[in-house]
Amino acid sequence: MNGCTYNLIDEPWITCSGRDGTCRAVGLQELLLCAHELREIESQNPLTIAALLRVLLAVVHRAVDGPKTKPEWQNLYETGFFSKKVITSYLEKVHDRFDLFSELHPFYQTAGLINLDGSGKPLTVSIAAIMLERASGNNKTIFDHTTDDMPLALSPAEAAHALITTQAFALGGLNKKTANLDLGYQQSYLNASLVSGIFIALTGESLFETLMLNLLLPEYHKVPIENDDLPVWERNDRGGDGVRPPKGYLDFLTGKCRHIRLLPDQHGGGIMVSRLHIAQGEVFPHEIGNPSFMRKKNNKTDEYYCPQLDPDRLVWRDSFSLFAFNDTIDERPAAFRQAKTMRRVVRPSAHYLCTAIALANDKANPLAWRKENLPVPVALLEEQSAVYLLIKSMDRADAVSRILDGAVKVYIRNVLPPNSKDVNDKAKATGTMGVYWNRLEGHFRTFLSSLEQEDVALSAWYDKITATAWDALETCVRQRYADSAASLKAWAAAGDELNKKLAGLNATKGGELL
Amino acid sequence: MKERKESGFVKFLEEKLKDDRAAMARLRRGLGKKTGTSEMYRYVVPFLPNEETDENRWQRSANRHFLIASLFSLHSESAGRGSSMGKVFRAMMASSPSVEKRFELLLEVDAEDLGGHLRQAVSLAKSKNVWVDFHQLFDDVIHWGDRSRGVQTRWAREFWGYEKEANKQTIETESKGETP
Repeated sequence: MNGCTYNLIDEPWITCSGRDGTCRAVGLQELLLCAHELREIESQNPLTIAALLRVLLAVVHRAVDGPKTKPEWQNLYETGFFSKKVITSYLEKVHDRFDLFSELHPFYQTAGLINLDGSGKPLTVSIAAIMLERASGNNKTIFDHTTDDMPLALSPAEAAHALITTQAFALGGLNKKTANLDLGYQQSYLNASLVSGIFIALTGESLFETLMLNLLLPEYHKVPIENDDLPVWERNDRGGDGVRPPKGYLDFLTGKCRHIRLLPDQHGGGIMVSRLHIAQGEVFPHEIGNPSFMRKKNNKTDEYYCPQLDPDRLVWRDSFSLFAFNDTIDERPAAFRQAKTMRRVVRPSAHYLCTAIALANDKANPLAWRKENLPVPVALLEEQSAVYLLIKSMDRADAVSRILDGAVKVYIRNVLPPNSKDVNDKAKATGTMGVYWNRLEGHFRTFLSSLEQEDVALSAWYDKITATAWDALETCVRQRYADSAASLKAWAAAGDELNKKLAGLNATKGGELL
Repeated sequence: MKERKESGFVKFLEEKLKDDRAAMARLRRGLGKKTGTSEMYRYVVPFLPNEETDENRWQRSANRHFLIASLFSLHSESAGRGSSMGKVFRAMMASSPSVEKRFELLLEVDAEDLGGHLRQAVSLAKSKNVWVDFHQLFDDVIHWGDRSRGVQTRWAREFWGYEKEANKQTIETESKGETP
């Protein structure tokens, strides 16, 4: 018996910002009952936000036992808040399943799990094992420089965040541990369900609206539902390891990809968690598509796939994949498709954001995580004319990026000795394209926000693209290299190249020479 | 067309001294002398900043005025169109490709050595009958040492970069003494 208790329904472990701009920590019950007064979940780790959202959606789906039809969804939405009676009734029923340190049913964990060493004795693991941002085990030193020798202890709230995030984003790799409960020796881990794609959610003006917008009807999530579809906290079986199909959408949302048992310690009146046991849990087959993932078309094969986060490519550059649809093909994330259908019942003045959250990895090594928000004009959800403008806007940005890349190469070619072989490498090393796309992002948001102005918005966007290209060339090339006569000559050539090619695009300004 | 930079000092040189052979001879004797000669003081000192300002800054300003005045005496036919030395060298290159090497050397000098290289450049321009805009040159000399190297960049662009046909023709006709 560990004697510790920390119930996630009651304890304040989730930080949320209110619609009045203030922040406060709340438990699950308060979060759901006040969701209409809260703006969003706050966390330094964007992966935690995605993982928490899925848990909250599962709670709401289960509490309301639906919604299964559009009228049910509409009734829920039009109430404007979650029913206190419905939410408290459900949470009371499952109260004991949300205790983080319960001996019988620890939340999102496996009771009785023990890692064993070679002689069969218990062997605990550092809590850092479930923190991607910590340099632990074979993890590269990306974000911090602690080592496994340095003691690390988390508060119960922090441990809960790490636990939930791990169940959604744990990376596959070497395991080489033995565990009890018939799990035995496990050579390796498998990726958790949110690793292999970019998670997309629609964000509303309140947490209530966000949850509603992402509360998917069966016709949109399309995960086959069996009779025993339950969220993980209601299951009485501990689950196995390896790949198995989900029993339904609730199972899908709360899959337990790792068997974990947190080991709390009492420290001077408080509880801290520094050690745990861990083993491979259950994962779902890739064939079960994630309705919240971005899907992109492979132009060579015409097939759709779920791209992973590329640390060098911002998600907004794939806006076409996020927003494009026509009468016959609609591969947008499920929340978008549902929002288009439910648009008639949603407030006309509603402003949405598209929130993209993802992890980039190189096998077992986390490389980067990212959260991007993009404004979503209502027209973009519904009107193909708006999609057409979006296509034109992205085509222009891509065309200018190719021109800019060419101008950088002209510069490098003129600066290096004749017949140099590493022009491309040196051109890439200038970082010009990264600066171009990064600086373009803010202008793209402005463009999206003013999409209803159509040609005016598009013209202003074209101007910004041209200016940003010049800016990137100036910043990364002109200002960075020694100002010999050779480099000045190369600069004149690069400027000419950019000017000439931009003029060829019929940009509103061909670009004045700097 | 770019707005021409007007310098009161250069305007004085153009309007009051250009046709005064004695004055021009006095200015010409200041060539190569960074701090000018006593003969030049009557023409230059009235345009210098107040003596109470920073001494180093005052001296640098004085040196620039002496330099421009002596260069003007060398070749007093002004282009008057905002054309920089980049364009001047470009016009000269048509008849003398070796000019490019001289131009490259000029781009790399620092402010201390600029006077000598400009004297050679203006001499060459006179020999090629290419006009120099001393209003623009005066401003460029002031900013020659800027960290941004904006002057050098502009001269380089105007020498090596694409030039619109209309502008090129105008420089050529002006250099020949014809009205554009």
